[in-house]
Amino acid sequence: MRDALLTLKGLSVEFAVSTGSVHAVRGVDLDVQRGEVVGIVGESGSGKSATMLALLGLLAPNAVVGGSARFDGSEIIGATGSHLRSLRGGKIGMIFQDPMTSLNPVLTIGHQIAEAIEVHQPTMRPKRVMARVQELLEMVSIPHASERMRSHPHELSGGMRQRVMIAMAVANEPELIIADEPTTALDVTIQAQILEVLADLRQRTNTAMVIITHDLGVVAGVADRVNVMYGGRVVERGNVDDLFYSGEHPYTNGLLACLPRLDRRGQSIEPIGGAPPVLDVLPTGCSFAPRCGAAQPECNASDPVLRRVGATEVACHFAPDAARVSRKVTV
Amino acid sequence: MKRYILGRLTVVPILLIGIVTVAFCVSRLIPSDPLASIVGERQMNNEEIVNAAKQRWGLDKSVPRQYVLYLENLVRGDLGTSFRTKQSVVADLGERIPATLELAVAAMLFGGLGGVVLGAVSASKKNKPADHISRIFSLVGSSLPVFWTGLALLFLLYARLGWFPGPGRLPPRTRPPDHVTGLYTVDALLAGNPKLALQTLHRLLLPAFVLGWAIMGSVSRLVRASMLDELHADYVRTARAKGLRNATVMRVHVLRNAMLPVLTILGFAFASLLTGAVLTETIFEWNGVGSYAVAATRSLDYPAINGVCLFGGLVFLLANLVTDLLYALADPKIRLS
Repeated sequence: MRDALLTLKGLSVEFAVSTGSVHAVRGVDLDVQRGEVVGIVGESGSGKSATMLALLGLLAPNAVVGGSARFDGSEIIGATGSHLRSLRGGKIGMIFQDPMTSLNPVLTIGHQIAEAIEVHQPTMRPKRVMARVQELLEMVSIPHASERMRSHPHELSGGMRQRVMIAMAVANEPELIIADEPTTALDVTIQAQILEVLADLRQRTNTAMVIITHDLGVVAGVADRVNVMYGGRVVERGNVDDLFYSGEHPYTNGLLACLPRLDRRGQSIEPIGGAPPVLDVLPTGCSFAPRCGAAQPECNASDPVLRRVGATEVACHFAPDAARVSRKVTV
Repeated sequence: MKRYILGRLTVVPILLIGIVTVAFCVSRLIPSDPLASIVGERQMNNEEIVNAAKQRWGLDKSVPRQYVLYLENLVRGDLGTSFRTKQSVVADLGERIPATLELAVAAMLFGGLGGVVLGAVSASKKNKPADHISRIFSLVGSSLPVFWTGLALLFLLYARLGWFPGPGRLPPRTRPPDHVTGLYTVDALLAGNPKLALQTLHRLLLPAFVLGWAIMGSVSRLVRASMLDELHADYVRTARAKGLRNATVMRVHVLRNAMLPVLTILGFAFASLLTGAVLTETIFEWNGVGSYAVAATRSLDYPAINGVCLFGGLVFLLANLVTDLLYALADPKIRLS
């Protein structure tokens, strides 16, 4: 196996709160190959964003990160501030969810992109920097780039702002782009455009990407491999097609059943009953068990680990039988 | 922008007339007779002198008539003649305003700039020793009365240690520099006398610090709270994700956004410094507007009282206007129209 660009081993994140600690991420193993697009899917609170923010040390100060993450051959959990800073915006670009609030309202977008370049290439001449900013804006298809550089974020539409975020993330030709819910705050038509920009970018630069989303549709469109997260763990992973057509975990199937489908017109979509776990107490056993249609007593007794079942790897005691039961229940 | 400023400026005269009217009425309502201070208590029984004085100062006319006359003179730029100094109020204020302005600007540098720096340090080092020290320092400044800090610092730094000169704008037996701006430090430089400029600057430091320390507290507390609020904003995370140093994130991103609410306080603080530095001016023998206002009020010097009120009103109106303009500069979302 060739060397992965990013390898997470047993990554965990705990947030210290007044009542104890919240276990947001509980031992995630994940790898991203060079040039590959990996999707991380899960609902709010599943730990998908925390996993990626933990890599770059961008979590709140009360977060305690454990485990290991190797990027490009070197360990980055517990790395020095300057090492992390050289990665942030340098080798790893980040795109955030809400372009309305993720750009600084009082600075021009040109300034904000230029800043990203200057911090990693301090010797570049100001003129050259501005030319590069314009080039980046053109790359993400912003019209009248040279004038737009002088605009403030509020003068741009949401889609344009997200393009600016993308331009900022790729300013230093990163090897990995982490996109945290890049389309969530946008209209559906704009979502499609942004995904196109990302796909185009990938084709041009062969940059690896991690796309974090709760939207299976986004993942289906762009990702090569998918990790489904639930309760701070990866519960199923596999190639995108395998996961969509023969997902084994009851949660994955639950998610798929929630999607509105053109070929099943007239049928109501099936929400997953119950609520995601609050991770202030570590659950014993499978954290999805309380909501699972196929749960058995054993599910509450021990925590399932990822194992290969059929085409995907799945963390479920009763796969592949559970999937059949859950399909019957949910579909 | 231009239209906005013009619009605002056209309101200024109307507001000023309002201010003058209120000041005029209030001073006339005070149950006391300014003649006593004009002719002196002992002459009050001498009808001839009293009548002559009444005529001389226009107090023989009815109050509405006096009001109309005052307004007429005001339009011509004449604020009347002070009962007390027997000089025109315009000339009096012309001497006093530069002194106060010099003090207020210097105090603003301590209080405003110092407050912003202290607040920014506090916010960056939240709950660390630097934060505690700067918070205690600003709390002490804003809770101690200026007359006490003024006297205490004079006692310590002038009387005991001799590091600073005593009260007064000029060294003893020194002629003021030729009048250009009225700001002694600037005038001394313009007159090619750097030694005098340094001396006047040295004398300015202590009163400016005393005044500035008092406003430093409120400014730094506001800056700290405002910056801590901004720290949670998404754009701060974006800035960090670019690989910027924490100090750069604080300075370039957080502080700029946090300054918006602070601007209002700064404008207001500067206006109050210009009009309300009485205690500091008294302790440091600084012949500014504040001490002039107090003296005018004590002798019920109608023209001087009105003149000071007019000046105060103008200062606050201008301070507000400047604050609005700075807001528009600082926050691109605000387009004045």
